Amino acid sequence: MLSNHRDDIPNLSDAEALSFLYQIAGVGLIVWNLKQESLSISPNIWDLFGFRADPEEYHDVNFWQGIIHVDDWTNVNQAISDIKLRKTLSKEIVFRIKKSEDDFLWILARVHNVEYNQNTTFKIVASLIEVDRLNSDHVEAKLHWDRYRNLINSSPIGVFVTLRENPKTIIYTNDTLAEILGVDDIENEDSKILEKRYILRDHDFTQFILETDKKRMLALLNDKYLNDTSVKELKMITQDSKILDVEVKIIVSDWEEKEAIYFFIQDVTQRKLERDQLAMANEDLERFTYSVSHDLKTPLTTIRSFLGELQKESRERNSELFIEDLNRITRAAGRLEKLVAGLLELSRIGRFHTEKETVSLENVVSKQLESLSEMVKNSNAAIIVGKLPTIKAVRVRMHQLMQNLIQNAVKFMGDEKKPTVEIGSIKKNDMYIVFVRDNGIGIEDNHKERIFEVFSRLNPKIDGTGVGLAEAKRIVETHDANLWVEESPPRSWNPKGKGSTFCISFPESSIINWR
Amino acid sequence: MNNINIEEFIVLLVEDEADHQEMIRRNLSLPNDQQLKIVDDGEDALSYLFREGDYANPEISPTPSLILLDINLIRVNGTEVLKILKCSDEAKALDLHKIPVVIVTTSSTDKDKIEAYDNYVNSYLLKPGEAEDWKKLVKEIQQYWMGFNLSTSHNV
Repeated sequence: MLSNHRDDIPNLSDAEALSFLYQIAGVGLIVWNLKQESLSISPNIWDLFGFRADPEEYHDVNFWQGIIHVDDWTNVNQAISDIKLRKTLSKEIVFRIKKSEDDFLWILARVHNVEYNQNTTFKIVASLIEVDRLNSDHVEAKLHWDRYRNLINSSPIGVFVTLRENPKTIIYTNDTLAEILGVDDIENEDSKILEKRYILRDHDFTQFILETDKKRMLALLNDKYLNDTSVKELKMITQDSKILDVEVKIIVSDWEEKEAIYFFIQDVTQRKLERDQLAMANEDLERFTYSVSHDLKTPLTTIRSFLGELQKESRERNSELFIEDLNRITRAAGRLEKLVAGLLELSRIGRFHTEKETVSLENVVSKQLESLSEMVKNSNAAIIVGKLPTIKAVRVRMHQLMQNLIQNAVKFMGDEKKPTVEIGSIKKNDMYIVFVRDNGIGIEDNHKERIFEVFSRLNPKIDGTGVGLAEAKRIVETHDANLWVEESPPRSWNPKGKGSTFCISFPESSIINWR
Repeated sequence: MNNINIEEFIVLLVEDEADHQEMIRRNLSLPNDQQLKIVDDGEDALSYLFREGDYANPEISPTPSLILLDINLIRVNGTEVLKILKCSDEAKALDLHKIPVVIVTTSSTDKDKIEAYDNYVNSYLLKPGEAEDWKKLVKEIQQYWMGFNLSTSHNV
């Protein structure tokens, strides 16, 4: 056997001998001629690494760029550039190449600068070997790094990394950041990039910082502040121009042997929104308890104070003052009762009678005008009823709402000679508005919000508890509608456009029949 | 006690509750009923002090020596009146900021107290619940602000 082989050896060509050598050593060879931008590949390379692509492609530089794992580009390019610039004569790198869509192979490459003939030929020769065979520390380190990256990638916190020497340019992000910034479903012309986290590579991150916060953000990258790892609040802007509130933490560490800056970004927009809403609800509650306690206290103070007066007056047998003060107490007690009843009713809205049904506002208004006929007659007010829609609502609340608004309009007519109330509807800027307007005394701008607060009254001369409009507001809120007041526009019955118009805009979903 | 001429002392009471107006009126003992001027809203108080509208005539609206001010008023509340009175250039031009202002209110919240003192209130008093206490309170106010206390308008 042996002798046979020995006989064959002298007949081998150089190329054949080389080919045997590759196979026995399990090493692939790539020779990159930089002058001609061409590659020569040892023929064993596809057997070695099991590539299934067309072997023709292997001679194309771009093909290699395409199958190298994106995370390893920096490494590979750096090595090649170092060799090209003759910073070093040889370098050893570990990287992954793509076998199939999701299968990567770890490769150890030894890259050399080979100059056969100075100035004419300039070649880079790389020997490739699959590193699993070597079981080297390189692999361990790479795997470790990989696991670490996976961990970062599945974190709910957005992460991006820049190099200290070029602190604005992103060299790495995790998927979460891409999702936060809304770049995760952008189509990338470069089909090699499939994973979200590569989309932002090489981008300037400051494009995602809201203009007003850019300066502050850049200041944080100043050497003075870089060691400050406290959490900062910042506004960012997404690809589709949404403004986000984020918390950012900045840490200096290294990235592949270079000094790098790590940014950890947490999207707190929702949390901040909820916090603001809670603060607003608390403020409302505070105002509510303030006015409730004040307004309940006032008649109570009257009752207690004048009870003392009564005692004195009964001792002094001052019957005239006695009766007067007794009346004061009775009035105050009556007022207290009304306030408590109003509060109770207010608290019931949204808790009782919540079943929504088809309600014709036209019917509601005509019934309310019937029951308010006495009051309307006394006020001499003319009532104009226009077209009103049929909506999905809680019937009894609609009755209360229209009652409150009509009463309110009739009550505040002042000395108008021809008091008029118009009830109607209008579709304006996609809003379905039902209005009650009058030509009465109107409401000054600075009171236009206050009037809806519980117990707020603007006119001490006109009787009322200040619950009506608060009740109307609450009813409207429980129907996901809006209530506001504006000045009445000029009409034939109101040429000067005096008085107030109360508007309710119902959500489109609640409209059954708009007429 | 100082020798203040009580005959010339004018009190402006800014109070929206008729019953509370009455309680103060009954317990205050001024030589002449006309020395107590009552308005029931902050807006009217400002009109009075700046002599606007119905209050243009100084015979009707003599500058008060003391203002008793409620906080929860209907249109313009007491805190706003106080702020305009003590801090605005308009009020300073008329020397209105030198008039002592005593708040008499049912509110004991920190917010109202702090706002009042921030705006240079001279005294902050809580409305009592008993007739006896009203009597005491008003008597004390009278004794202190119309007796011991000297303000710029008093010639002794």
